[in-house]
Amino acid sequence: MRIEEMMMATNPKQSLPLNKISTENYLSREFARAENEHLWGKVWLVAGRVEELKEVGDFLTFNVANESIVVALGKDGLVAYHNVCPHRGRRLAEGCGRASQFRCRYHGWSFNLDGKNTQVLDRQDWDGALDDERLDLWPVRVDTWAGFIWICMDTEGESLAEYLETMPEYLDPFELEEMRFRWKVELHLGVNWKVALEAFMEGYHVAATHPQLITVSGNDYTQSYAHGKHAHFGYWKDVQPLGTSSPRLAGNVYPDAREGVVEFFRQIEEDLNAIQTDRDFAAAKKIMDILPPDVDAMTAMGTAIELGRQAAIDDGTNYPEGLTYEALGKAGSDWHIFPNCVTLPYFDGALWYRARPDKSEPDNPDKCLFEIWSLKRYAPGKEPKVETRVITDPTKESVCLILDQDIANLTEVQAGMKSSKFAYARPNPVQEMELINFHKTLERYVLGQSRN
Amino acid sequence: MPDLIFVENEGVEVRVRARVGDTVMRAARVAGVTGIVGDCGGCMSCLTCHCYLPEETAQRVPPPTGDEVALLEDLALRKAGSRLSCQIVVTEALDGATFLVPAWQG
Repeated sequence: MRIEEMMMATNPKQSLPLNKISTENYLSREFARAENEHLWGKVWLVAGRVEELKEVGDFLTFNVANESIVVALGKDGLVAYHNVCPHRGRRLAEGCGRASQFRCRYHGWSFNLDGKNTQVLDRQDWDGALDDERLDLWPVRVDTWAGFIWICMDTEGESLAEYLETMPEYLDPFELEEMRFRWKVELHLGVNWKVALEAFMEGYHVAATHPQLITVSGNDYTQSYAHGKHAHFGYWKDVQPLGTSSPRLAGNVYPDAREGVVEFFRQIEEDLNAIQTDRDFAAAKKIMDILPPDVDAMTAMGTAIELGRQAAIDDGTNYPEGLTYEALGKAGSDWHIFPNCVTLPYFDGALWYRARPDKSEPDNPDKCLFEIWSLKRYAPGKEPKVETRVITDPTKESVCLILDQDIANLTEVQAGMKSSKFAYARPNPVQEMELINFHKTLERYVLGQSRN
Repeated sequence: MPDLIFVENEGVEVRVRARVGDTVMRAARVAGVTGIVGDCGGCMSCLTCHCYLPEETAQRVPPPTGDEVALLEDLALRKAGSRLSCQIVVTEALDGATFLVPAWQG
């Protein structure tokens, strides 16, 4: 042991410096404006799902900050452009649809799927003055990963693969590209986009926010690690099988391990309706018949998961071949994908969150658009047609118990941070590394360097 | 007055009595043919009156102008016989001619 290490070990005052997150990042209009200027145009962002664009001419639009991007399936693959007519600035495409060209509804200027200007009404009126003007649509880089369409407005810089860093090593085995929407919710919230996203970036809140869950979710103590711009958390220390009660609680709520496991799957199915699926819940219930009442918790959980896997295979859905138990363990439970997405993947389904400033008022730090997507593996052709449920007042409309509990914290956080006695957040260095890493990275983009 | 026959995408045949001098697009719209939209009113701009002319029909109309050919090239659903019906003027020669409506317009 080196001298410094001995001093660290013996001197209790030698502690790690506190990680602080300034309230400026959440509350300041200048910071929000700086994000709109320096962040969104520089990073790779999820614009939609690959399966949303099936045929040549299918398009979708994605708005963020003051920008609008249209992504379409062209004859040679995906194309993306700034969604603006160079004539008078009208947005060309709206929502999603199918078209062979983008035609401005204002004066009819048209652009083909290659982004090329094909028509200027009465062009001769300009008498050649438009000849040296750029009239084609401005291209945006587009790529795909995990079944998502990603765009980057910066025409230079990192490729998507470089941007994602090591994350695909951890998440590719889940085959998110094989999943389809199970449900979609779009929430309009009176909070900063980061406040919304961060409710799903750590497991430290579970004991206090979801007390019902820790009776059956095993050891809820999490660890979290940064991987470049991105970060994850998981349950790697003193692991306890699902179905058992948290060590924070005295005793085990379900002495019959089978009941604990079934209760875990019931809660996830009924109170979250995501990650694990209805198929997994139905399969898990079978352990009541095939396992004895005195079975150990690990066997009960392992059997339930295996039954879920079998059910997926029998259903024609199949199981991601590369998703070994090692791969599952390595990935952990939750990834923050910088800047504005979070995912919780499982073999049979996944949750995906996307947050951004509200499009009607992108400089307002108190408003955001927050989307929650439940994805599920379906047998080919079995996926449902899913409409987005839009919720403008989450106090009046429920998403589901677990998410309602999370959402209930959001406005209280946004309001609480405005207290004169609250200058900065004090994230947990073990369990909330996703937040710490998020703000460090964010500040590098927005301010040029991190505050800490 | 010539009769034009439109085959909608679902396979429904619609027989339309058309006025000589009108355009095929307008005749279809007046008759409520499903799938002929004509958003721009006929100024060869919106690509939403696209239809397919079987060889037998194509022989009865003048070929497309260079401008129309250029626009047709951008159509996702372009195939042999693609035309913009707003550019085809109804004549007596079109009596009994068939026009096939594509799966979608635009």
